[in-house]
Amino acid sequence: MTEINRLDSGGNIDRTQKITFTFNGKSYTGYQGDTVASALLASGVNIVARSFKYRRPRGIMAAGVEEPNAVLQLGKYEATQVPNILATQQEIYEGLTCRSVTGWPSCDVDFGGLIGRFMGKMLPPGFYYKTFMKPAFLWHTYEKYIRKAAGLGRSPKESDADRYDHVHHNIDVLIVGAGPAGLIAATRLSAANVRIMLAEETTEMGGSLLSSQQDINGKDAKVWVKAALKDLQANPDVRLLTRATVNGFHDHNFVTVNERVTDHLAEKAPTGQARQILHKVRCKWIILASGAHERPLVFGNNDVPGCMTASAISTYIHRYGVIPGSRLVLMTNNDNAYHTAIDWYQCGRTVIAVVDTRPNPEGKIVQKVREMGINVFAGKAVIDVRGRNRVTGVVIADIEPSGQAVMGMLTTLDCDTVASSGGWSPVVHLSCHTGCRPKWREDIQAFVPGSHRENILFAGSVNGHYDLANCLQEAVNCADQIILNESLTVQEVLGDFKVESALEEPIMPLFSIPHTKPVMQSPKQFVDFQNDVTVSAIDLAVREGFHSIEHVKRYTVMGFGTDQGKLGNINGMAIVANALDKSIPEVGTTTFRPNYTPVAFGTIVGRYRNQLFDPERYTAMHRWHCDNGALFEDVGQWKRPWYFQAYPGEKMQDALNRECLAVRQSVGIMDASTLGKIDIQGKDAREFLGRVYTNAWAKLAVGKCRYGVMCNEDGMVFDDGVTACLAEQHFLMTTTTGGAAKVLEWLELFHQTEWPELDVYFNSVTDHWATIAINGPNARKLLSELCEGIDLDKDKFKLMDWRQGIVAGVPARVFRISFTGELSFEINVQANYGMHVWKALQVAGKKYKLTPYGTETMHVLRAEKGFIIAGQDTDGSVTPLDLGMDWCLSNKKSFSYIGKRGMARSDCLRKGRKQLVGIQTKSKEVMIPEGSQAVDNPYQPLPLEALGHITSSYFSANLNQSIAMGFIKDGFNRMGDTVYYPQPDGTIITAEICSPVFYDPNGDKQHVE
Amino acid sequence: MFYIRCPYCEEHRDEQEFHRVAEANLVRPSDPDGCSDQEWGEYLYFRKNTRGEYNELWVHSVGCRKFFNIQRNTETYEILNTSPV
Amino acid sequence: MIQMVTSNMLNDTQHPDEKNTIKPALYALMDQCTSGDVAMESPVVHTAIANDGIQNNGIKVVEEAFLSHLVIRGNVNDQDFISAIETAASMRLPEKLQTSQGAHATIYWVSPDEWLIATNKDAFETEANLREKLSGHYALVNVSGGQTRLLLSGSNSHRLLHAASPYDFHLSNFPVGKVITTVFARAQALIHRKSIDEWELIIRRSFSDYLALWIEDFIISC
Ligand SMILES: [Zn+2]
Repeated sequence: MTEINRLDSGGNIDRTQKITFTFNGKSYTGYQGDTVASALLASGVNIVARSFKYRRPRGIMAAGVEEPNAVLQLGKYEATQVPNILATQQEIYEGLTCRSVTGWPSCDVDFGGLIGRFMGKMLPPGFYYKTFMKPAFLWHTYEKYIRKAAGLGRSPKESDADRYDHVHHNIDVLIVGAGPAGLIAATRLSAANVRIMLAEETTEMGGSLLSSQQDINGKDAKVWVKAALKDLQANPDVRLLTRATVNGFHDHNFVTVNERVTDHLAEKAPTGQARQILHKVRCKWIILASGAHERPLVFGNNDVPGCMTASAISTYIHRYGVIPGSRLVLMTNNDNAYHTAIDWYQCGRTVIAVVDTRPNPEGKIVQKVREMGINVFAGKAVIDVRGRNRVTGVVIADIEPSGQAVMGMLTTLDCDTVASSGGWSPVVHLSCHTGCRPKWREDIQAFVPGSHRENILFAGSVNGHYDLANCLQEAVNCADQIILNESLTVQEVLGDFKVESALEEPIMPLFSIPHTKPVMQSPKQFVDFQNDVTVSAIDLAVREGFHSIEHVKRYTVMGFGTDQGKLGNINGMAIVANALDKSIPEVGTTTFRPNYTPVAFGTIVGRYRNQLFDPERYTAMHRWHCDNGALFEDVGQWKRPWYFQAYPGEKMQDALNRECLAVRQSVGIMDASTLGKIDIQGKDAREFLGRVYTNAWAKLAVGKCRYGVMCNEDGMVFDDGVTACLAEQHFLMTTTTGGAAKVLEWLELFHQTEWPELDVYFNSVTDHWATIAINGPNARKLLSELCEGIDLDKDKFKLMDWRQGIVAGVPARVFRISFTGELSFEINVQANYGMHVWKALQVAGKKYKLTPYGTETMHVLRAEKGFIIAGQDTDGSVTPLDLGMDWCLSNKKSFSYIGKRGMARSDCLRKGRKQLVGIQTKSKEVMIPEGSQAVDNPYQPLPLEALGHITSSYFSANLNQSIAMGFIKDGFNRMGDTVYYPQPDGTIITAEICSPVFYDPNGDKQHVE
Repeated sequence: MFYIRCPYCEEHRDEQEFHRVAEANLVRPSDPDGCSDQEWGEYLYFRKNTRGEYNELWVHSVGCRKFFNIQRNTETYEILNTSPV
Repeated sequence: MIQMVTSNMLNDTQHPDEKNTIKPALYALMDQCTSGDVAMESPVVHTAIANDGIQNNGIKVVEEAFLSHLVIRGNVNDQDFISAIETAASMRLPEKLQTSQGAHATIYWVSPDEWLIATNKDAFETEANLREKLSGHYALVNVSGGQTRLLLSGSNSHRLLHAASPYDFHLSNFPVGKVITTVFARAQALIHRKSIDEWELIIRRSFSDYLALWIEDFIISC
């Protein structure tokens, strides 16, 4: 296809670099510097999409981020698919492949056009609520079809081949937007020795100056832009970013900027480069110079391809050397849009007419256009557009000065392009992200940023200063305010300028052009193009009683698209205001939230993918576990061996049975390094322990250990563990694996805020010690082969003693404590030796068939003994009394330990609390699923009265039966009673309440010779 | 994302280094066992949860590990002051 | 050599029940290292940082393995504590967010009542030496097995830091000698600027595989 709309000269494109790309399966050409949109317009492509609801053909309307129609699915390969890319932003590169996301199966086939009329009836405003929410379960069925037809693009099914990155910045000033305001502010500040970032969303800095015919300092504005950039680039404290969208303004001046580093270069990022970078910027000051978007006027059939915003046409002419048509009708309610008529005229193509809705426009530029011989129709408006796949003409009529009605004769004008301008909407989005509301300015008919707490300043058209001289002056003032506030010294006064003021006549307050017919019968007048929201839909919503703009938005889905209503929202609000007979500020805006534009998941994730997504914490013996068949369980961030496969494919239950039997019959070995360990030193350490544990610590002798339970102030168990007395004023506390950080913080909290008078220090030594537990009747024999300096005699080294000695040549602290009920030693060595000692035990353990076991076997073995696991058998609603652990409470302590008063509340002492008991199924092979609820009578009328749930349930290979623990109301008094566990599949498991100690109730096993 | 001045490190740090612990200035009754259920319940469960200016206890957990008070506005997220406990 | 009674007494010959015959130790000082022929594994032994470290494009990370790391806790208003530490270590106890550098050791400020000393001297001797001088309320904890020190260097080293942490590493905010504990990737690190382009990172053992992977991911793609 030839580039019929490409001008012979002009535009910032490299005409020596011809590029071929594919859109909807067809090949097109363009030049280096073109966007997909500019290249398609150059080739005379009219239709780029089919609309969401009515399946109407749609063309390119805008030139920037506010484009609602030209939304692309990008990517040649499955792994490089990117949905929802704007043709107006995506630059072309050789081989680029894209298609419209809207218009399934294809936007050229009029298949949708036929069913569109039908779908429009099917999808009235509020259709989500009316049709799909009832019955709710059918939504999933509808959703598939709607999403496909609606064409929201699709994510790739293969993983992204590109890399993304995050970079943090701490700077003084972030300037958003490198238009005239942003550039001059940066220039002025660059002399003040501050760190600056200037972020520009488009490919090129300069903003409106790039398509302006105004002079700065007596020279073409583009020359001024070049010079300013050159100076800024030379300053190492200034960071210039193009293709970088400032997407979120968060609390305390934290800003996210999405830089598309290589999207314009190729399908895949060049080696060594991240495709996109998320800049996380903390800045002292922000200068928001984000500019304004021109809004179109709303009129009949305003979506026919060929209808565009006026400024977009100027942009295509100036930046890309593309003129998107031959015969132009321009409709405007302001002076500014007249520039487009001049631009069009100067390209040598025909301006049929300028249709000005104002009764009597007499501004300078209006005169100029008239002098060029262009027809200017005052007090008239375009009420309808002719044509389907491309504009063929417009119908114009006289419009009342109030803008409320049209009258008189209708005239038809032939044309192929309709430019419209309803004024400008400042891009206030970022200013609203932290909750501030924009304020309405009647004189410019627009919302500007409201007042702010944060250090954010506004410059240029975002603040309603459209005139270049005012815009530049405001930016200079912003820079000077920062210089003053921060008491900065300026080496040189930069950024002085001289610009001729081009004052314009006032804009006419007009958003939607009335038709001769009432709204419901007039041709469709589109407000939100991406979602096919029309004036009549908004009208209907208001008539149905939706008066809040937030409700109208949700009812009509206005502003819900990937464009978030950048083009249409203000028009929509004005139409709601009109329908409610309220002012626009009374109706207000919808809420602007981050992000300003869609951000790829890859960019959000950065390099935090796969194994880097979340830290995995390993013990010193982790590599051995990996090499020896371990499957891992996540305990917090720790990876703990769950069980070890003796051979590949060994079933979990087989492995557990093997491990459980090995421990009870000979000896097993477990890596217990993940247990939290807290070193406690100080003369008041003992007193402190007495306050945070429920039991007594005053008399624990050096060389002894004691089990302790920790409660919250409400009396509920939150952690437990064994604490050893290392020396008179020195203790080593252990916590659960998951509770380590929480317990340390708990201790520090009470020390710092309640009992600072106690002399004690807490330090985490969790990572410092590798802890190896050997359990089983042969544990002592095994240890004796490697141990020096400790008398392992059962009467010299008793249960709950600890000793220091040498194990496998390494200094060790050995604790004789047992969580399995077997003879057990926990060997602690400095973690750098952990692997050595572990391996030495493996070698020495061969003759005892030493078996490594994981957390699951540990759970089974402790459950056989009725030992609880805090966090599994407790859930924050369980006191030690509920667990039958009264032996662990000391009421003799003078200090009211944490949890004591809580446990004494009447609710904790009442009869009928749920208590932890053993549960034995009648059929011993049946296991009760954890979480199952007990009832006395499964046939009682609904709802069943639940007695309590199963907290732990396992198959015990040692007992060859299932075992379980669970809560039962008043359970301690109900030993031997039968209870029932109804299951979701309708079966009922019958079980008996029993002691939770299933194995070795007298505890003989841990004292074997 | 808050930017919080730790009164112990005497520097502003990113919110990620901190977390909130509780309402500030909760004082454990000196004689818990002498408290009525009502009094103990007030200490245990009842919080002001003010909309507007509010005092909270935070901890510089990825930093100096010290607890400190923040006076902040729960509506605007403005931090008015931070001070050592 | 050391007069202090250590918990080595807690072997079979001195059962705790008989402890009243000797003066009880207040703190358990333990020589946790062996001079025997025993393989030690540093926290990053199974990662790309092990041995010669990893480097690319102006960034280099190596481990300074098997240093002795001791946590010191005490009250800065206690002059006896300060002078005992300074005498024993022959170094100043650094001010807030500062370090002090000795011939064989660096002391890092961690918190108003916490410092870290990293030294190439033996941990046991260092601790014993300090305990000999110290009295009153303090704590010393050997954490040598629980963490390791990495040296990040090179003209692009700041780029790695800016990717890993939200902190401001600009020279104006982070002069040579400063130390902070902060977020690093999704874990944490103590970070000390040793010179303009040299940074010490002290990381916890259990996070070191993760952090080494993160560092490797950054360096190979930088
Ligand atoms: Zn701090």
